Formats: sequence, C-alpha cells, structure tokens
Amino acid sequence: MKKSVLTGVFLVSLVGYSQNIVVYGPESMKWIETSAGKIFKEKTGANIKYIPINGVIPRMKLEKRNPKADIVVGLTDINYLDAKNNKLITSYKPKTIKNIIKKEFIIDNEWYVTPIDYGMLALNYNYEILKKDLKTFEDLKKYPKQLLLQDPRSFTGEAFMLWTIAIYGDNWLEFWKTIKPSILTTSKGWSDSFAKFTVGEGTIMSGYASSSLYFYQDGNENKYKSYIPTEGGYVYLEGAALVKKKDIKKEAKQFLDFILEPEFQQLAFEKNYMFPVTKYTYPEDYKYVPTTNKIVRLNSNYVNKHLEEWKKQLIQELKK
Amino acid sequence: MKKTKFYGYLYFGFWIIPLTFFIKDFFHISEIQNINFGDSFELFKISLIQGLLSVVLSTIIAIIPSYYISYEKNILTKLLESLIFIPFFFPAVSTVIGFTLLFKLPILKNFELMYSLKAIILANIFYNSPIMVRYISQGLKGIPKNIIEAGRIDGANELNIFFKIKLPLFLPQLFKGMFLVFIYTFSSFGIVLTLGGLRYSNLEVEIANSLLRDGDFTRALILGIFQFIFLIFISYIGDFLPLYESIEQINRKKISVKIIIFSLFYLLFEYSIVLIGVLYGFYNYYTNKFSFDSLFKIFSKNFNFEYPVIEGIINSLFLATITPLFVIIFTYLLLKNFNKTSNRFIVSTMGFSSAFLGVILIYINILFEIKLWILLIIGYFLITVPIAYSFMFQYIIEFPEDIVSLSKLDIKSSFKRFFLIEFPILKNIFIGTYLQIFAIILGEFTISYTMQLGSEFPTIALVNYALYSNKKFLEGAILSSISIIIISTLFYLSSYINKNET
Repeated sequence: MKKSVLTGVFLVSLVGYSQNIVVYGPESMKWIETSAGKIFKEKTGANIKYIPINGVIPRMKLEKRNPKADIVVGLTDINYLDAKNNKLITSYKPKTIKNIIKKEFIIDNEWYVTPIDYGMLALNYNYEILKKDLKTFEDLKKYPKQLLLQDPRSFTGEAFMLWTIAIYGDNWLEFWKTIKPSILTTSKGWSDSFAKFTVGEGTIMSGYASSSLYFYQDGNENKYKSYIPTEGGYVYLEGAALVKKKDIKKEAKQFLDFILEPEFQQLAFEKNYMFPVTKYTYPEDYKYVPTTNKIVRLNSNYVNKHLEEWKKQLIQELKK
Repeated sequence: MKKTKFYGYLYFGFWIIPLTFFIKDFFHISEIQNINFGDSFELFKISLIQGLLSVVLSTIIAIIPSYYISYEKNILTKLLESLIFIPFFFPAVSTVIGFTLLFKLPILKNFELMYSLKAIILANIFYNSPIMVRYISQGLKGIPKNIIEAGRIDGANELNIFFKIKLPLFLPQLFKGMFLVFIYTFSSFGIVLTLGGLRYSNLEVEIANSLLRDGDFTRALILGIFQFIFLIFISYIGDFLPLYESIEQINRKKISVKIIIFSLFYLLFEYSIVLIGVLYGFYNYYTNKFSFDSLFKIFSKNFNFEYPVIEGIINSLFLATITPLFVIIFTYLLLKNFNKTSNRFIVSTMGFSSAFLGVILIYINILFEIKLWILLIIGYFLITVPIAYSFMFQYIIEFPEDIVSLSKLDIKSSFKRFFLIEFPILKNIFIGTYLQIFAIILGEFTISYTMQLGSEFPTIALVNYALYSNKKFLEGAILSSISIIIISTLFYLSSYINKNET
C-alpha cells in the first residue's frame, strides 16, 4: 500500500498542471503576462501564463490532439488562415468590438481572430553612415551589400516579401533579382537583423516604421531613421484567437474582450511598438514614426493560396 | 565477464520510442509528393561541401601544431592541448560574435568574408581543428620508437619510414578525428545559421526550419532520417579501423622555427576568438567603453522580473548537476559491455539532429504531460552519452581485467567490487567526465530552444536568447561572457583532474 501511494505521489509530481489561461505567442509579447496580466487579474481574478513560442502555428499543429494553450496571440491577417483552415482556432465575437475604430481592422468576418494592433512595414537606415535620406524601393539598389533582410519564413521576412508583391505585382521576383547585389545577408528573423543593424553591419534593414519610436526613446533619432517608400506602404494586423479545444474557458473569452479595452490597447502601443485598433491619443514622440496615405494591399485568400509557392520561389532566388 | 547488448539497445530505444510516436502521427506518405527532391539534394550537397572542406582544412591546419605537441613538452604544448575545450564547450553565439568582429578588422574587411561559405569554413576550422590536433598528436605520440628504430636498422630512409611505418600507424587516429569533425560540420547549426545566412543553409538548418517555421513535419522527418542514415553509413567506415590503443609517449625532437611560429599563430588565432567572446560582454559598444554596469543590471531584482537570469542560472545548474550522473553510470555500463552493435548505435546518434530531438521531446510532453525538465534531462542524456563514451572509452576498455579477476576471489558482490577496486582507480576519470558534461549542458542551446521552454523552465541559453530577441544586447553579451567563464573554469578543472590521473 505504502509503495503504491509513493508511486502515485511520484507520478503526480511528474505530471504538469495547468494555469488559469495559457497564452502562446512571440517572445516580443511577453508583456501580456507581466503587464497586461496584472490588470486582467484585477478584472477577472484569472492569471495569465504567457509562453513564448517561436512559430506558433507549427506548435499548434503539433498540439492539435491535445492543445495546451487557451489563446494564441501574434497571428497576422495572413497566417491566421493557415490556423483557421487547419481547424486550430475557433470563432468568438468579443463583447467589446464596438471599440474598433475602422472596419479595415476587422481581420476575419467570422471572428476567428480578434485584432490586437496594427503596424506598418518600413526600411530602417543608418543616417550617420549613409548621410542621405532614402525615398523609394529603387534607392535600395544604390547601396551594394548594405541591406539586411529576413528569411521569408519569418514573420517580418514574409511581410516584406508580400509588400514587394503588392508593389510590383507579377514582376516582384524581377525586383528581388535586381536588389540582390544590395543584400548583405538574409537572416533568420527580425531580431537577428536588428542586432546586426545596431552593431553596424549593414546600413539598411527591412523592419517596422514604429522602430523610430524605439530609436527616439534611445536617443538615436538622428542616427537611425525609417522610411516608407513612395511606391506605397504595407499595413499588417496582429490578432489573437481562441485555441480550438474541448473545454473553452470562460476566462479565455474574457481575455479576447479585454484585448479591445483601452488598458490593453495602451500597452500594445507602449510595449509592442504597434498602433491600437481602438481610439487612442498618441503621445508627442509619435511624430518620429513615418506614415503614408498610399497603402498597398493583397487579398488574404489570394495570398493564402500562393504564399508557400512564393516563399519557395524567393528562397530559391536568394540561394542562387 | 559475459557481455550484454542490453545497454546498447536501451540507448537506441530511448531514441526510437519517442521517434515512433512522432512518425506515427506526423508522417504522411501522401505529402511526400510535395517534397522537392532536387532542393533536398542541393541541401545535401551544401552540407557535404561544408563538411568535407571543413574536415580537410581543419586537418591541414592541425598537422603542424600536432607535430609540435608530439615532439615538445612545454607551456606552448599545454596551451595547444587546452584548445580542445573549444569544440565541446565554447558557445556558438560567442564564436559568431568573435568572427563578426574579426571580419570587420580593416585588414580583413575587403575580403568580404562575412556571410559567405568562407566564413562558415573559417568558423568550422576554429571550432574543429583542436579535435584534429588532439587526434593527430595522439596518433604521432602513439608510434612506438622501437619500430622506427627497427626500420632504420633495416635501411629505410626518412621518406620510407614516414609512408611505410608512421602513416599506417597513425592513420586510424587521423580517420577517427576526421570522422568526428565531419559529423560536427556536416550537421552544424548555429554557425551556419548566423554566419552563413539563408544562402548556405544545410540539412540541419532546414530540418529546424521545417519543424519550427513551416510546420512541415513530413519534410523534416525525411530530411532527418536521410541525415541519420547517411551518418550511420559513414560510421560503418569506423568499423574497419582498429581500436585505439594508448601508448602515448613523447619522442623529443628538434623543432624548426617555422613550426614554432606557425603553432604560435594558430594558438593566437584560436584564443583571440575566445578572448573576444569573453571581453565583448564587458564592452559597451554604444559608448565605446569597458563597463561592469550590465553585469550588475542582470542580477538586479527588477531586471529578473522580466528576464529570469538568476532562475535560468539555477535551472541550468540543476540540469547540469543531475544529468551527468545518469550519463556516467550508463556510459560505464555500456563500455563494460562493449560490442560493435552498441558502438554503432552510439556513434550514429552523434549526427542526429538536436532540433529534431527537441521537437520529439516536446511532442512526448504534449501526449503524456511528462514534466519538461524531465524530458530535458532525457534530451541532454541522449546527446551527452556519445561524448562521455568517447571521453571514457580508453580508460574503461583498457582497464586491467586481471585486477578485476583476482578481486573476484575475495569479493563476490560486483557492486562492492566496483566500489573497492574500480572506482578508486577510475574516480578522477569519472569526475573529469562529469565536469565536462556539466559544462556542455550549461552551454546547450538547440534542444532547449526547440522545446521552447522559455517561461516554463528558463535556462541560461534561453534567457540569453530572450535578451537578444528583446534588443538587450549588452545584457545578453555579459551573460554569454559569464557562461564562457564558468565553462572554461570547469574545463580546466576537469583537465587538471584528468592530468593527475594519467
């Protein structure tokens, strides 16, 4: 008897236990636990356990039979379709949707995804070295071995590729062929490129317009600048979704409601360097973020149909 | 003593059982048609080119320092021998930092080495040539003086002595070193990923990409299995080589100035990368000044609230303390029951993708909810057994059987026999291996990264990754430096203990 009790205790100690709600998302959104988590607990009494995952969709595919997460954040207006089509997420219409200020911010009409924030892609450059402002995509061709790009299988790399497709249409691969001499390297993701950029390798990188806020807060606004090429800007949306599982927790739905509340939206702006999808008064330093009225778009379903093929084509070109 | 194949099969089982669950659920024959075999062949070709070039060049670079070590015994010999810590313990991240700064030097800037095949090969040479130095010098030292003398008496000239006596005698050692370097460079991950970029992705990098980015598990499985089978095939070559026999001796000989200068340059090259890796953490490149500010910052309470540096160090120390115990006990039993089947199992798994192992283990966690730290110990166990195996091999295999046989007369219990007879003799080998495995686990990144343990069970490597991902470059650099300092100290401690043993 004693032996079996001990065995039982041992087995229990080997088995994990679940938190109130488990959120999967990128490393950069850990503030959801550390900052937003406190407010959410005050409101609902529930804790948030945030688990940073590099590549949330593959991880959800792995967990399909036994999902551990309740919520997934960081899905984009493009890749959420992969999760939706693979039945990894489920629909929920938040009670707070009236807070969304523009119809364009609604990612999915069936509410498989709740929009969190949006951002604009840009090219960041080292003004101190280049001593010249850049204006267009074509300007990139003037700087051999200076451009830091990301693998199209990474989030930023994929978005940058889509941006060029939205600008150049069927000739997008031709554009890539012409900028190849300018590319210093294609790294695994944004963080890697940004690390290289800040230590002075390469003077231009594909990144985000809101990085200018970061440069400003760091006192580097004269050293680093960002620009959106005159050919057009590319906006992407980030969202959150309920993970499809047997028992969907009440708190998980409350979390999606909370996302569209002012406190969460403010944190998304401050911590994520992204722009709120609800009404928001921007601080003074917002003026450092470049913007444009000329926005280029691609149809989500069209993208989803061709995305893998485009990525393969681009990888093949970059490897040549 | 009757030898059993049980431990070899048990080790193989530890690999195969979780792999079977993964294959059962994620391998879809229908998806094979989507795989571009032309692309896969290209990946194989790139891996092969990187592996072969690295092996050949590491061997060439290592010949002169090995020659020096074989015929001299002084401080330079000791420093050259100590380089062996690099391939096993020096973190890839620090190597990348070292080479990035090296390639930016004005003298090298025009060669455009960064992000090229040359960069990968140079880093591979830095990483792996110490292995060749170790093996070649052991081979040269192991050539019995009396055989050479006999050759001379029979009228052989120096050329004949080299080709007909020395070369055949040290070839097995040479091939063993080359085999090890080939495995490491063929399946290299961190260096290819960071110094090569997308253009030079090899099989290992693509396996990780398929698993973590594309979620294309069938492709990852096919690439992983192909890599595994290829390396098993390569390991068969090892079966044709005779077992290593330790009869090391120093045959002093006059060394030319050119050899001394080359050896010094080689030492300088290797240590300059190590020093850059350490000093970089104390250098603030924003202000261009050396500073300890980041060191104090990463241990502060506020900082640890967001980045669990202290928890990461505690967790890594916990894993690094526990795992080597299992590894040493198991490896001892494995070597006491040495046979070719077990040997092949151990050697072949050396080339198994660590990224793949991480994903398989996380899948076991998903299926059975086994605690992640337990799975992490299993993962570290699986990757460090082959390393402990090579460290302990000669001492266990060559343990004088007559001592054990005689002790059987007085001590019936094999357990007691081990503690009273074998343990006192092998104690320092166990401690040395323990410390070496400890250091490897402390610096390990790929498995814990693939398992995405981030907030669940942070380790030093994962916290470091989080720091870099969140633009905390100075803090990340100081944590890397701390890791190198701990790892190097442990290595020298283990070398000191091992030296006292031999």
